[in-house]
Amino acid sequence: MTRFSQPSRGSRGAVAEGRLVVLPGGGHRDDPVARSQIAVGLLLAAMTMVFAALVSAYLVRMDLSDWRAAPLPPVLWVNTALLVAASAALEAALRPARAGDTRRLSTLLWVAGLATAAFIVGQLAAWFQMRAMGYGVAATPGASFFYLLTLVHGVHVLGGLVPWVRLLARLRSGREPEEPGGRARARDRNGDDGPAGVVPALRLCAVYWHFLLGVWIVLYLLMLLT
Amino acid sequence: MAYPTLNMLSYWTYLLSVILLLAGYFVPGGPSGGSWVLYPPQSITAGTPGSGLGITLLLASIAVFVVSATMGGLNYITTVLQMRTRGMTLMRMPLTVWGVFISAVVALLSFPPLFVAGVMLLFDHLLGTSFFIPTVNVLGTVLPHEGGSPLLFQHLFWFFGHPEVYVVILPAMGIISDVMATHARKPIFGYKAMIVSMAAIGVISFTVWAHHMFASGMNPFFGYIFAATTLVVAIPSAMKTYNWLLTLWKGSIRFTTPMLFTIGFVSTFVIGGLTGLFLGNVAVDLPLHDTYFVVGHFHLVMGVSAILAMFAGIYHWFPKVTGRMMNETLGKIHFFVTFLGAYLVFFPMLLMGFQGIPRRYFSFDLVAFAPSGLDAVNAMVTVAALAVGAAQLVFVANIVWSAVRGREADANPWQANTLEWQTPQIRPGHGNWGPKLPEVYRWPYDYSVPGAARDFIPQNEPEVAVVSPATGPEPEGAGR
Repeated sequence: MTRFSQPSRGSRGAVAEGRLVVLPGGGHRDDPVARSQIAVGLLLAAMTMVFAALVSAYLVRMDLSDWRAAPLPPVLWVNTALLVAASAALEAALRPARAGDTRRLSTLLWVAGLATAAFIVGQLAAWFQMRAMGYGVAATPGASFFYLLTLVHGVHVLGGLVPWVRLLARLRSGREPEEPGGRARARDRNGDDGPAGVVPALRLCAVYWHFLLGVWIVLYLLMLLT
Repeated sequence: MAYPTLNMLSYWTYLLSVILLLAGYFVPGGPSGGSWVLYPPQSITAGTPGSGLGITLLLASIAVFVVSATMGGLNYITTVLQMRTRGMTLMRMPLTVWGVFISAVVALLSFPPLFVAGVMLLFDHLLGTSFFIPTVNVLGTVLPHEGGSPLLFQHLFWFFGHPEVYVVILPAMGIISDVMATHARKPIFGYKAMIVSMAAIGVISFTVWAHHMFASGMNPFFGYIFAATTLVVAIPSAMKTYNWLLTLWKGSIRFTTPMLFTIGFVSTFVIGGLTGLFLGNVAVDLPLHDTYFVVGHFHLVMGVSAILAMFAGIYHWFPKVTGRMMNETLGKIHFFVTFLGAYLVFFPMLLMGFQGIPRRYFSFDLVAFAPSGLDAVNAMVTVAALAVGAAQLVFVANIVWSAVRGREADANPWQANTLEWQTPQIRPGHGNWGPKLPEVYRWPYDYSVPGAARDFIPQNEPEVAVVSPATGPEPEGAGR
């Protein structure tokens, strides 16, 4: 008996017509939903590093001798409530999305988007209030961090509105986006993916908002308590 | 790619960052003179070249670059995890792909602190904040900053800066492994160990950053910890080196140009890596830190090694890209001048560093302890550097000439196993494979398999063994 080659690692074999034919194993079913979940997970990991670097810089700078905190404008409480509302609306939108209740779904999406936009406007208002209180960006190290942290956080919130707009557009057209390169969608639609299959995308939007809400609460507490 | 549009966006954003960077040459005051580490207060204080618009453009370029790198990294990782063809398990991936994959993960997590450092330095520079700038007295004028910490910047910078060197060298290590196995006609030795060591290097890279700051007056206890983590990197690096040497051992080595560059890489990586062990020790680093020794170490282990790997990759894959072979004679001239020249440039620097010759000096006239032969050695280094520079013109000429007039390559000129050499067209069209994707049956290193008809078995060749009806499939082949 001659051995032609050794089966490679991880291979499965099947005996057919007196020959051992090793079948390709471990192939990947390309799943666009799993793909987006991985991509959003990685994005959140990178963002975690951004905010971790900011928080550790804050903690290091706070220990230096000239540290003076700045009073925080009260409008931040309102802004926090707005971001909580946006986050909650996206979470609540999942149920009508699964049930196919397009009207209720789009109402909740609009609530989330408007609350988010109001949050951004509120953060801008907080900047003006800080300035009016005499705390410009270079006034004290605490004030500098206030502007820096709200800016970086706000830009990420603003970026979240891009997938939000795409979600609305998808809901309006009632069509799923085409796969790039004209490939057919490899994934069969689940029954509970909702109108235009928005549920997976909506879930990722909600995760992104919850993440930024969590970050905001950490940043706000950090500034409040120090 | 998992996200082609994002990939394109990543490229154009990258181009924007390059344009911003180069724009520094055309603004009043010129580009930033803050060296590549951009330490404040020097980088943004008047008196440093380009401390006005130059450094602003540089910092903006860094921020834009990190955005681009994040989009690219997301895409690479998702593609590797989700878009592999049927049969391409993770443990059958070529080591080049493993290198790019791990490098993308490291980049994704290490670039954000650089982004933060850049934005904070922009705040200090443009808005007058004092994150990094202490009270500075310039010729009797006190600057408006107070209380900031330059060391804070160094921590953020090096938390990026050390993983960054592995972001560059990990794909290089992958390329070296693939090119070496192909041209030595042997399976890569210790495939799993290669992957584990690359992953280990990636993880450890996040714990060593402060070894760049031993001379900054840190608490000796911290120095001790960072020295320990730094020296641990030697273990996975040594694993890789042994595996490369054992891949060469008793191989049917074909001394092609890509193989020469590959062997050159192992050499410079070993010399550069061993000198890293000196610098990883706090007590040895302190006297050597501001000397030529650091210049020699860094350029051998990072600069020369990474560039040799790039050359190996270019000579190896050029036939796939253009359908033509590069000229071997010109390639060998390029290799020997570059390789020997690089040693002539950087090895004397190690010796000069031991003599205490400081780096970053404009002139050595006033350095009393400089040995008398210093000028001659520096002149030799300059001549060698010019020769290496000239050799690169040979390379450029070879590329241009070979792309147009080179000998036509057949589909798989190196008789390699990986999928890119098995495409239906010699110069793959868009999408590479047409409507039918290949299926993978084996790892990429089935070279010189005993009993096989040829000394290579491509990854997409089905695995077939003759079975004797009496005994069934031969058992000892399995579970390898």
